Amino acid sequence: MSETSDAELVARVRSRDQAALEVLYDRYARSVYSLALSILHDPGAAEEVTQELFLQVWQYPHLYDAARGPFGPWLLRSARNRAIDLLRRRTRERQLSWRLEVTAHATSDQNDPDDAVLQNEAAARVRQALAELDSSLRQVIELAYLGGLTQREIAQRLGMPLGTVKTRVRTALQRLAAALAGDREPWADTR
Amino acid sequence: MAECQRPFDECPEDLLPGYALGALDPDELDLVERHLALCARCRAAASEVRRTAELLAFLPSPHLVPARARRKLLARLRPVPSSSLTTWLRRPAWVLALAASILALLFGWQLAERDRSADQQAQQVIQADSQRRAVVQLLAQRDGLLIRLHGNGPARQAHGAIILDPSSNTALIAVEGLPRPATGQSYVVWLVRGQEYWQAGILPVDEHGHAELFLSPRESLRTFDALAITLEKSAQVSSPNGLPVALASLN
Repeated sequence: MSETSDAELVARVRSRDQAALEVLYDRYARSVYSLALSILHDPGAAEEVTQELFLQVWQYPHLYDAARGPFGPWLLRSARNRAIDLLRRRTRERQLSWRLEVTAHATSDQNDPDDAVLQNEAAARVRQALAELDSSLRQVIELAYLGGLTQREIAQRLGMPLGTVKTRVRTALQRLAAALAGDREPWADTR
Repeated sequence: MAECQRPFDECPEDLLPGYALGALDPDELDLVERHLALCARCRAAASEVRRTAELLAFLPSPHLVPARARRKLLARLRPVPSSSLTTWLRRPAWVLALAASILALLFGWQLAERDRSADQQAQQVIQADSQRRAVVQLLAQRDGLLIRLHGNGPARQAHGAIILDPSSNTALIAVEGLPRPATGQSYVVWLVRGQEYWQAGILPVDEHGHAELFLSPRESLRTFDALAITLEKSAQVSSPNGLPVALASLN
């Protein structure tokens, strides 16, 4: 079943095929968890976001509408939204304590890894392209995408004109698109 | 805010990257979504930039997911209860009576309320079958509490019910007669406590106007005052901004 498309797996989940959900989990859990961890800086909360998201896929598979695009982007968008919502609810003091926990969890997790995770080369190329962005461009992207800040909030935080932030966001996305032009999307082989 | 005071027919191209990133303020988001509804060129541009923005999901360095997360998830996957007659007959008689009476309240009044042809009623019965099964399953498990739900505003023809099960902290929302939302719009369900709104889920509507949503919130349903449904321009909202469609007290 590991070669089965996402669409087919979701269809099987709709007919209560637990094995299909497990394949989807093995395919995407690492990306979901990594994204949530980068937003929340809390391994426990990232794990919870991951569990809740896949539980939602199991309980309400009809929420994914294949007509609106492939499953992978939808799932990761949902993961980000959940993590950002959680982040906004938490207090600054708690965030600080979570950051301290990251180190401890990162160590203990080495003894409890999940080997069955998606690790495709296309995703690595995306990360490389992102890493090659100028730090000023990467900064606004990280504050928006991982920090959940609006462009106006970023401008206030960095003390720069809103127009500059908009320009940097646009430039960053343009450069990313150019760097990956002609490349396969990370989830193209799992649609 | 002044940047949003532009003529409506002017394409807000400078806002599309922020739109794709979910980094617009509410006034900007409103402007962009109203424009996209009318401008095919900007819809295509937004779609393109969104495809790039989606790649940002790979921005974080990959981390191994603790194996316990998978084990916990699998432990939480409960099979859907069987609705077979055999299963039903194993239920105590009082549960069947309770379920039957509440089902009659839920569905009977809907049928009696409308003057429909026999064919339409038969069709409605078929369409409501899956909805009814879900309700029956919930009621068959435990004692439930029925709260009527009436639509208003753009969904004034909608009607249905919320079935609460405080013992398992679950609820089922079943509505029919809901107009399908326009592309991009969603019915969003909110749990209300005082002045605070917590998004409880998206209410999916099928082509017949039927909608069901099963709620299992982390916090006790007893602590919420009301349940609200709004029609939002985006499913990704953290507070209600759209038209109120229904409101029911949970007290």
